[in-house]
Amino acid sequence: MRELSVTAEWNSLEPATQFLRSAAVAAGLPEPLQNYVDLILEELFVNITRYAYPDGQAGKVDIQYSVPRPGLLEIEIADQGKYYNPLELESPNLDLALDDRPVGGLGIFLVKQYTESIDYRRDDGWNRVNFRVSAESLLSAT
Amino acid sequence: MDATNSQEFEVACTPWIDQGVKHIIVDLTALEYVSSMGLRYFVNVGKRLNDGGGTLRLCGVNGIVKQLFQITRLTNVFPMHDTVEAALASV
Repeated sequence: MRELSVTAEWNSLEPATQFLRSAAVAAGLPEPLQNYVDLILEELFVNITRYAYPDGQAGKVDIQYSVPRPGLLEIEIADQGKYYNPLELESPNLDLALDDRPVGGLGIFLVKQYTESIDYRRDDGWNRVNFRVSAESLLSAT
Repeated sequence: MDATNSQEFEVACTPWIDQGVKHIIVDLTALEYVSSMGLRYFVNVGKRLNDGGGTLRLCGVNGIVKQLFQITRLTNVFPMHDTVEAALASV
């Protein structure tokens, strides 16, 4: 298990991405699939920076990963912000015409597409999102 | 195009839209990554052009970028072309 703790701000996205890139390399994910790990991290991280902490409060984001076997990553992204379960968001309606489409709302949909499994729990003041990313699930989704 | 830089796309398009340009063609051949934040700005710019009777046209979409446009069915709302020339010919 490896861990990184960063401040919940835009500037932390780059070191967080580098951290999970090293995870993807450790798991032996082929390079084209590593972009999907970047994507999942960004979508979850951006939600935390935007919604978890009140303005001006420098909260933190803890990221952990392990490699149970080659080709499989288990990742947890946790924050101490207000209760927020991203998995409760409604799925976007992808059949709407451009004029009727909301501008956002695709991030968690994308996360669900590219994770093998994902769950959320509220744990003693922490939001904890755990997910698995595998070469097999990414290849079948792409 | 990620959370840190996607807004630059709309900033770049805005003067053209404000001048009354109807169609904008974007060559995405060299774009290697896009997140939902990037998609958000494509949608926003596309809506603004639609409001003026125009279109946002995309070409050269490939790799993960193409896959994200497909999985979000944005391929159904933006005219997609293989090349800039093909996009120009369609306007």
